[in-house]
Amino acid sequence: MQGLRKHGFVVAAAFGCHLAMASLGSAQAWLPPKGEAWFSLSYGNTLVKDHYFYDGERVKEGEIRSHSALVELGYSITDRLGVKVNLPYVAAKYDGVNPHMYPVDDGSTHGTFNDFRLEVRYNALRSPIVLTPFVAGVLPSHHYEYFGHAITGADLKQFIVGTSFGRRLDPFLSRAYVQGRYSYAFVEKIEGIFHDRSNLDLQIGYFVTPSLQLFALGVGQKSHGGLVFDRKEIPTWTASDFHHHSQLGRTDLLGVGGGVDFLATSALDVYASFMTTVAGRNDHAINAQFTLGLTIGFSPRQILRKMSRSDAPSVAPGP
Amino acid sequence: MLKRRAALILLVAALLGLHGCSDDDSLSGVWTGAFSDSLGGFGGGNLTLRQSGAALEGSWEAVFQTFAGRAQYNNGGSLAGTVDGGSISLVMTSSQGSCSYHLDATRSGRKLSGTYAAIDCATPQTGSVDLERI
Repeated sequence: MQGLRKHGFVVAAAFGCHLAMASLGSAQAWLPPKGEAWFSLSYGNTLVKDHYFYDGERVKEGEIRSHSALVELGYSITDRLGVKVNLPYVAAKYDGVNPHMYPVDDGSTHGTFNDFRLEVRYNALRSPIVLTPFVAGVLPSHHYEYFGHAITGADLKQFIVGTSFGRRLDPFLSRAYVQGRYSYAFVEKIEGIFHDRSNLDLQIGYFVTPSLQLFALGVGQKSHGGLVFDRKEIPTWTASDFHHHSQLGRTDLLGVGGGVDFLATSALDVYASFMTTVAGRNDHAINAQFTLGLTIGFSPRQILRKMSRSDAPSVAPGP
Repeated sequence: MLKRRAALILLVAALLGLHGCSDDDSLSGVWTGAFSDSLGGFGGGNLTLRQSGAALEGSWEAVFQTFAGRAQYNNGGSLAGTVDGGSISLVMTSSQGSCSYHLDATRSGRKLSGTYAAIDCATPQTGSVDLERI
């Protein structure tokens, strides 16, 4: 189960916040052993009360409450090579006096599946520093609404490269570890506008007991292009700029949080986490994001073996 | 091994199928997106189009931001017009009894964009739209 942790930050995608696109949930520097698979299910509840303008000013534009469920399936092909795929379902509601568009901002909850994410990881270094580069593809499951406050995603194709890294902190600090991930996302251009981004996520954890750990989180995003939400510039936008501003925002975000993780059995891991943004530009500010999740580890080979045994006919007495 | 390959091919096909690659040639459907209006400022809205040959009919709606009294320019009603290739010409009639508008737009795949102007109105009003069929 080692390394099968923290799917918490995927849920920020609930309202189109790009921070989510490089989920810390995938920071897994450590891979499960060959032949091991996992199934993960998480629920996220996110509250946005403010919008960040280009200078970091927080402006009240109504509240956005979103709920998300993420299903993920992963498999270690070898001890060093792993693959995983996930798909979130997101439902969001806007409650405010400045709706962008109906029906998405009509005050009721609207939900849909958003983007498939397929990721392949290769564990290049194992000790003392763990280094696991990866490539990932993000593909919208269908065309969905990306204009409005209560949108459920950005409806953009992305190709992501990066690396996870980690290190146990013993002998300096026994029972502690640090892991993180840096990624660069090549994001589908809109109206010819370049808006790639970088994400850096960090996690420091401490095992209170062998099965219980506490962790602190830090997440950051830097956009390398896109639209700036400047009160002086916004009036010069075209209808197209306004239509795509959630997709194209030059989003910079910094978030902090923490959580707890409990290994209930050798195959069942449960966790809870909290996150909030402390600074940002050109996007929604996350006032509070709670995540609950569980991960179940299993061996497909052993399951198939057991099934074939149970299907086998009982041995008949010889002639 | 063969089963694994077949499963992989099916998975990729399912992902591509769910993504939806086709664009319908007909304009019929709901086109949603942004309005930029000389009086109302930025807003969101939609055109609901029904196409029969080159003829178009349907309805429209525009909702502007609520600050600075912009919401007074919220509007909607019926529309009628024609399409010739990728060029669209529509007359949008207001159900609120205000002025009608003439919209010239072009369609490119799932995108529809254009400009409009009020017809014979005491207060000039112009704007542009950027819409997409979701």
